[in-house]
Amino acid sequence: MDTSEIQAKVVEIIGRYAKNKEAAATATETTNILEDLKVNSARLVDVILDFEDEFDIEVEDDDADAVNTVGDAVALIQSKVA
Amino acid sequence: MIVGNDVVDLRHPENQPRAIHPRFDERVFTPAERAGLTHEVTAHRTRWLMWAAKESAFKVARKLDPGVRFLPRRFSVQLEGKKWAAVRHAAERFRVSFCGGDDWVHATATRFDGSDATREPSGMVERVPGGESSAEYASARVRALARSAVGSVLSIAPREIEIAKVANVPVALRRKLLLPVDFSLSHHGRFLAVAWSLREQRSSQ
Repeated sequence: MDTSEIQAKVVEIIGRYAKNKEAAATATETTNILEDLKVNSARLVDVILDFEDEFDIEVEDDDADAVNTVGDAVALIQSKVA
Repeated sequence: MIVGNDVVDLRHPENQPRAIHPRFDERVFTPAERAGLTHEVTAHRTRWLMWAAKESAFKVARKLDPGVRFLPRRFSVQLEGKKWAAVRHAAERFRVSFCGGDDWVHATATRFDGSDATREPSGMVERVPGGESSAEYASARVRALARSAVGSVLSIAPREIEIAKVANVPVALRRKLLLPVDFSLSHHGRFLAVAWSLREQRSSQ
């Protein structure tokens, strides 16, 4: 799976939980998940768990906490699936 | 006194038992905490009481140390009846009080160091007229509530108070000077909440 495919899937997953659907539709790698997309902290847990399911990876708490932007999520997933 | 708060709309579709991820509890709660979620009738409210306790304690911890991160399992919650909880994180201890109704809970946390044990921060919860609002409305309205709260404590007109963020922590300013009130903001679903307390032994800078 290449970077663009991962990013598309990441945006789709985050979009399920985003309060700001408009921003989710135009999200880029610099989009902040909490601030820009208005995903709350409890839903961010669901996002991380969906990443685990979708990409068949395990995300440690420390790694999950470092995910602030769409780009952070893509980089994390790339490092796990590589 | 440093305060943190968190409000949860218990009827919001996103946090219903069938809406959250099946591994959500395992991800955010310790084994001891999960033992409190075995009763189906009370599990939903207990889950979000414990979550709100963690989140509100984190907001205090972050003010004490900006390097603290929100790793939910590292904020361990011991519920003490329906109105109180003790939260531990590393060497810090926090005291959390709850208020709420059938469809909401509001947690207010302070650092537990003995001296604050008999004092409580003030708090206010407002139900959004007409149901859940946009994130923009909620954000603006909860800041208006904070201006009113801070203004009432300090006898300042709310219009003279600016709510800003410093290192991701909300602060109250008047003519660019920091006001001696610590407060915390939260909104979720149909509810907005503010908790506040006068900051002791600190003056405007």
